[in-house]
Amino acid sequence: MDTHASKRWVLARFDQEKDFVAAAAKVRSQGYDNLDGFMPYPSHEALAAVKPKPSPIPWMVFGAALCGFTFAFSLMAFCNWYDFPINIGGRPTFSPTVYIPICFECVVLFSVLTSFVGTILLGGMPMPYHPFFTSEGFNKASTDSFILAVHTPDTSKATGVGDELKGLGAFSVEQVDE
Amino acid sequence: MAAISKPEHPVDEPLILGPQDNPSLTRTLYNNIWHPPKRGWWILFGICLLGVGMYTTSILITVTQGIGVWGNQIPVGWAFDIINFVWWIGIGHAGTLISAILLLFQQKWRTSINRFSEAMTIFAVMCAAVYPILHTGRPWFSAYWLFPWPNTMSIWPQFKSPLMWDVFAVSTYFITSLLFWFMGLIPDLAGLRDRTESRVARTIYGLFSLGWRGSAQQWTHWHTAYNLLAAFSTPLVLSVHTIVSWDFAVGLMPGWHATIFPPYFVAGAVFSGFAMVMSLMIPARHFLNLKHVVTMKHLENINKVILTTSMIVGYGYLMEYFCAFYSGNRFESYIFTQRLIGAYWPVYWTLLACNVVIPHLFWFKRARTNIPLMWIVSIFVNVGMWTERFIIIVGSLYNDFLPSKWHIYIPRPVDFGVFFGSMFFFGMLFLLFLRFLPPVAVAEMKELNAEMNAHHEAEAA
Repeated sequence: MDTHASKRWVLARFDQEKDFVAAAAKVRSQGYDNLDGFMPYPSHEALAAVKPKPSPIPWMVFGAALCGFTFAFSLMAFCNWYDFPINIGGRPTFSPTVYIPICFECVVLFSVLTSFVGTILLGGMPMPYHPFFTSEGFNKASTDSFILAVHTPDTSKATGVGDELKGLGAFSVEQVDE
Repeated sequence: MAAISKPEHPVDEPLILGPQDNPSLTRTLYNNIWHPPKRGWWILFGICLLGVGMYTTSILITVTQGIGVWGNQIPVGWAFDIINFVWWIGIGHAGTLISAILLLFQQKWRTSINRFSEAMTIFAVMCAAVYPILHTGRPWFSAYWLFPWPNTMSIWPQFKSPLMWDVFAVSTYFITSLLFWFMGLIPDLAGLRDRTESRVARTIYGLFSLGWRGSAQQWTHWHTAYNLLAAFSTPLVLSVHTIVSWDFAVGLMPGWHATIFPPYFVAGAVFSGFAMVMSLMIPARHFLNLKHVVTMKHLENINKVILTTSMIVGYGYLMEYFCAFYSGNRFESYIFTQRLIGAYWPVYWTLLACNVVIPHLFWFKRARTNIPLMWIVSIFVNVGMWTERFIIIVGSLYNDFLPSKWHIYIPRPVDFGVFFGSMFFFGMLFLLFLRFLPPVAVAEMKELNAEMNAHHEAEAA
């Protein structure tokens, strides 16, 4: 099943966000479309430079919200109306208005769980190990630096791309196979 | 996207003091974790541990002897347990308000205090949740009574009761607050994993950071989900205290049966929550050297929120009186007269002083910027909000419809043990939080800092 060949990435570490953005634009103009960026905070410019795919989480959450509502409504109708009707002070056993609060809470609960689990799983987590972690200085991406990763399908050109990134202000450049 | 990154906050009072960059923020905001705690931390932690001993002992006594060890006596069936529950839940409202509502309104000053107040929320909700469970008398049966769990009697919970709504509201609120907090923490945990020199710490932070790399794709999902969480938390936080207020307002007791309860409870919750943020923030910002990110402007803003919500709460008290007398209902007007001159009059007048009178000091800028004074006011507000719940609950129950049932409620030692014990438990969790996790949302601070720097550069150009 797992037949994908290893991918060669050139990692370039920038201390300034604007150098990162300029470098991403430059390598993209040379035909390197598969870029990734690692950054300490979600800077809009830096994200726009590497063009990640839009997140499908809102649609997942919409589905989850509908499920939450259906779950809560049918649960309450089943328990207090169908399975074991309870007569409390002669109130109707099926009264959708009093179901509103719990339906709302379940909509929120399902949506929140989906947002969270979606972020984790779509982000490829949990993944305590990743080849990039072996790269010297990669650990700076979580606090201070912006790291640009350029996928070079033609591995022979990786060194050339690395030199060019260095010319664009990269603090350090390294090649990593994923 | 560009519109969001353009800061619209006034530049006259900066939210972050001094020229800061990513390395300097990394250094200062993780500071508490790199350095072993000082003696003061250990002393406080020791005191809290002793208090937790008292807490667990009181809970053990309650569970083994039954709730007869409390002062509750019919007609005062709800007392310290529900007072403390509502008080803690109310305190827990500031966290989500700050992290969610202020995020949606793009109030940038929230960034310095959101992590801190979210932690406070989670710990406060944990303290709150203990009380109703203990109050069931036999907590080991709570699962059957509170959740739709099939039992041998094949009977289900009564979903028409606000008490059931409360179960769902509080559990949803706890889970949401916890996930919101954890989502924000993931990038910072990754930062800790990468910066720490200890192998053990790296492993632990590495596990909890779930292998976060801060890749563009991960940030995109994170950002979307974080905004969604904020969007869901906003109505949620309003719903939780609304539903707590329905626990009372749906009942027919004089003093409870009022339509003003939901908004007035929510305002009270925000009021007490912000006061608690203030009580904790002032010592923390001093001892953890956070003065460059929690500036006087932040404290002043918190004080303004306290002043505003104090007036909303004051309006609620006034309306309660108006409705009680305007309704012409004898029981209502009697209860409200008794609040002023009845058995618990000192409590009611304390409430008025703490919640309605004292916060008006914050009309004056000198008071809003005086740190010792604002700390003292915040303590008064915490006390005042506790007495408010006491008056609402005990003050209505002890003089109910039938004079032959009237009964003066006096709390017993175990009541105090569980109440003060929960404060120590809260304190213990909070000290651990301040020791092992960044008290300020580091990644979000860096984002804000970058925006502010860009803004200054654009102005200079």
